[in-house]
Amino acid sequence: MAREGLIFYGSIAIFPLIVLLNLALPDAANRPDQPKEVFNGALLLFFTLLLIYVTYGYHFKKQPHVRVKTVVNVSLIFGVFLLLWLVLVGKLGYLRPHSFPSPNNVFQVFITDIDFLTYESSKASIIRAFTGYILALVLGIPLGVWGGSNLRAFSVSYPIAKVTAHIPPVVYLPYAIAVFPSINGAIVFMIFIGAFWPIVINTMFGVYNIDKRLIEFARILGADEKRILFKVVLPAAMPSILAGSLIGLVLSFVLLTAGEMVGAHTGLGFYLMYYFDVGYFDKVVAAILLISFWVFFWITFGFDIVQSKLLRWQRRIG
Amino acid sequence: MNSTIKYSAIVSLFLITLLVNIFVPDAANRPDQPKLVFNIIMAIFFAAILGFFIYGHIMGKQSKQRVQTVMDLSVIFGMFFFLWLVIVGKLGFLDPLRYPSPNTVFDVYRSDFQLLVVRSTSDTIWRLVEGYVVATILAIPLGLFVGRHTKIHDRVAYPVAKMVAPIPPIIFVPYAIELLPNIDLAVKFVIFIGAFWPIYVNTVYGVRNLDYRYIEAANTLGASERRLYTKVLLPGSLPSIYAGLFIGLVLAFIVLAVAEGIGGSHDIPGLGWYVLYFADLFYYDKIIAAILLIGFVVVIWTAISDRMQDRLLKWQKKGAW
Amino acid sequence: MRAMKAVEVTGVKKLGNGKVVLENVDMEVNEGEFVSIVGPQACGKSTLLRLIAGLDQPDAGKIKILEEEVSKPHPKVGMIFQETLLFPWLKIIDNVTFGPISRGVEKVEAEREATKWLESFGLAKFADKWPYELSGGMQRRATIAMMMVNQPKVLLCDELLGGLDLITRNAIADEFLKLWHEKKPTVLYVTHLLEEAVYLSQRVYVMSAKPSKIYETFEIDLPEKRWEVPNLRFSEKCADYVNKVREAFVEAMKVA
Repeated sequence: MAREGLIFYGSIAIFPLIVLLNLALPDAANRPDQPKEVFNGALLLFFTLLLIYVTYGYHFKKQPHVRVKTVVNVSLIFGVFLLLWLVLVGKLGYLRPHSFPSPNNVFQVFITDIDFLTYESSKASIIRAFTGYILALVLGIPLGVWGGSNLRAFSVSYPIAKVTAHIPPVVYLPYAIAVFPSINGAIVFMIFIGAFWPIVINTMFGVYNIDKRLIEFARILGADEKRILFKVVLPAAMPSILAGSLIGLVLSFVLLTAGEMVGAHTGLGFYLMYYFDVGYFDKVVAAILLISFWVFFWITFGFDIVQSKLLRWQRRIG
Repeated sequence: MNSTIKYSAIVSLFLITLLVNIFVPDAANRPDQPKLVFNIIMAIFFAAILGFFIYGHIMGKQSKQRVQTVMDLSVIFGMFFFLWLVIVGKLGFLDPLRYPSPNTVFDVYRSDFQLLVVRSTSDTIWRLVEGYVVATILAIPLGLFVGRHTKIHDRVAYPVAKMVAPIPPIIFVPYAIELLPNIDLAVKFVIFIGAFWPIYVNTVYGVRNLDYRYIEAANTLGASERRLYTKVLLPGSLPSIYAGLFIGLVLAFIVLAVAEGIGGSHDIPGLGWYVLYFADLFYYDKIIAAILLIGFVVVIWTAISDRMQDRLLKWQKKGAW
Repeated sequence: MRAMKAVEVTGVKKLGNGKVVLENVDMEVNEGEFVSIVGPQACGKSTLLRLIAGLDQPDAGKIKILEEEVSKPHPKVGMIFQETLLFPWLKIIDNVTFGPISRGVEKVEAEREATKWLESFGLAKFADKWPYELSGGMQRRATIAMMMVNQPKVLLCDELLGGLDLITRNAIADEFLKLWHEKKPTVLYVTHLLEEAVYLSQRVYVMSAKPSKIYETFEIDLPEKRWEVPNLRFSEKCADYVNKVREAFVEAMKVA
């Protein structure tokens, strides 16, 4: 449909429009002389990437229509948010300048603090999050499979897991810091614990609820226990395992930020908290944006892709 | 018969712990432990499990499966307390500062009764209830509405949720404290944010995964829009909503702990604040006491919500357990 | 030559949840026979089949397959469960090779064998599809291929054609009969449709519900290549058998 294409291209045109407004309108009196290069540059870069994606995906039909639509819609919402922020805060000067910096000032931080914020802090945070998360996957899935295939283990561990999963791992943190040799280890441990429970519970639940006939069917066909595990039990429980892994991933980021805000001396959460205490809100907002970006990035470009690969066999809904 | 002996042994585990505590001398590096509170709690455990054992197993008023589960859980808790008491409290292994004996830990509930058990606990529960309940009340109707209207969902709601939902709610803590008039409100607000998204997202998911034929059937039967919401959409998406409520609660607890830790003080206490405050002062007995108390609050909360869940989901086929 | 006993069930009793599910069931099936078991709902047909498959143990009595006592699934037994069972996460070809590879056949060899079977069911072009992409009838054919590639001596079918429309049902029934005629496995066919039982099998067992046991047995004397007789389904002889079985069936329900 040509009309749909017009809507797609029209939607992403919001980004150059924001850049034009940014250049054309004068800055608010209470936030004068905003450095505009980084914000404008980021928007134009984003626009270019989107343009390539839409052309490649929609025009040449290289991507599922639903996915292109989602990307365009998410971008449009993001664009509207930036537009409102720029115009209301940066150009019309609403809200207190101290706690509500204009997007121009915030984006500038990514460049002025490129080493400390954009690179070092991101790196420290991402390494922590994934060490804990991957550890949780590696231990949680086998344990969940065991618990789910054994009725007695299931009925004992399920209530324990349900209670333990609710206790906010953040409260272990002070104790973990005391017991662990390093703060880093304590935070990783906390992320591990936080991601571990949803993964275990969902794996257990998925395995426990498998249609038993599938296993009997495999047995009749002559499959041994190992083959049943890898070819029947794991794939059958996969939707549930993935659901748990997603919750675990989201929790990992929550706990990462929490741990860093409360205890660490490096990382994005620490950066955020440090500049909050000092009162530099452009840096606080920059950190918030960067954390959100990483979370969005890993979920959309990491998790979603793995998930659609692993669940190709499921009929797509809608 | 065999199982009766086994279960009796499990029940007496708590009695043994109690007797060991009374008659075995304390470790040299942890002398004169105040034993009263721990002993009382062991006695309560003993009495409760004994009661369940007699009522459920001997009188046969509970299913075998259930009795076994409770007994298995009792072994785990019983062994935990027993080993903790013996290894740390009586034999004196591990360093006393970081690994306090259970007697010392449980005595915190007496010595810090006002601050920990009364004020911190009640304030925390109150904040949690308010933030979480408001989130539930707003998220479920909104989720049902958005799930029902495909256009709004595709064009606005889904992209917004996709972008905002996974953002760790904790990063809004500083902003909430800066902007809202008082800390209490700030904490409640971030709990609200933390709980809102999972409940909302799962409600939408529940409605959209509902077999559309139910909706068509309801329409054919002439159901009004209001009846459609209350009799079809809501019950149909309840299983998914419950999953969301669970995740929402986990997130609410995490956010609560951090927000209290950052914003709390002696005048604005809370369990999260209590843990983080005494961590700075190295009172590990208080930290552990508070962690256990949080666990207890969670158990009660889970039990109540499970009850409600069972009641509302009667139509769903039960599993084997 | 005396025909070998493919399935022998003697005095089998099975309890489930404290209730008697099967009581004193006796049954003997010779090698290469096609027999059906019909009976009212919840009469234990499926349970009996599961016992014969070795998925469950009887509480009393004996079950022998090919003159060996059963305690676990016998390698020469294939079973098709109620409703289609393909592994939804395996492509059609991988579903069909599941059995052979499980039994240690080389992948290449298994795929060659599987492709032959898929071709014979007209499924060759679906080899690379996911199960959900196939129609109900196609899925059912793939399931049969999945079983047959293992070359079972005894094939147990629980409502093989349940949930299909009548035309597909009859078409697959004929295909299945031809297949049976060609390979001569022993088939135990559980169904609730009396017409289908009569049309397909050489013998029909009618089970009663309470107590769950064999109520009556009918020998069906129809030509073996039934698909070659035009309109056999609607012939008088066939109708006669169906009526007799129906009478027994109604009686069996009254026993309850």
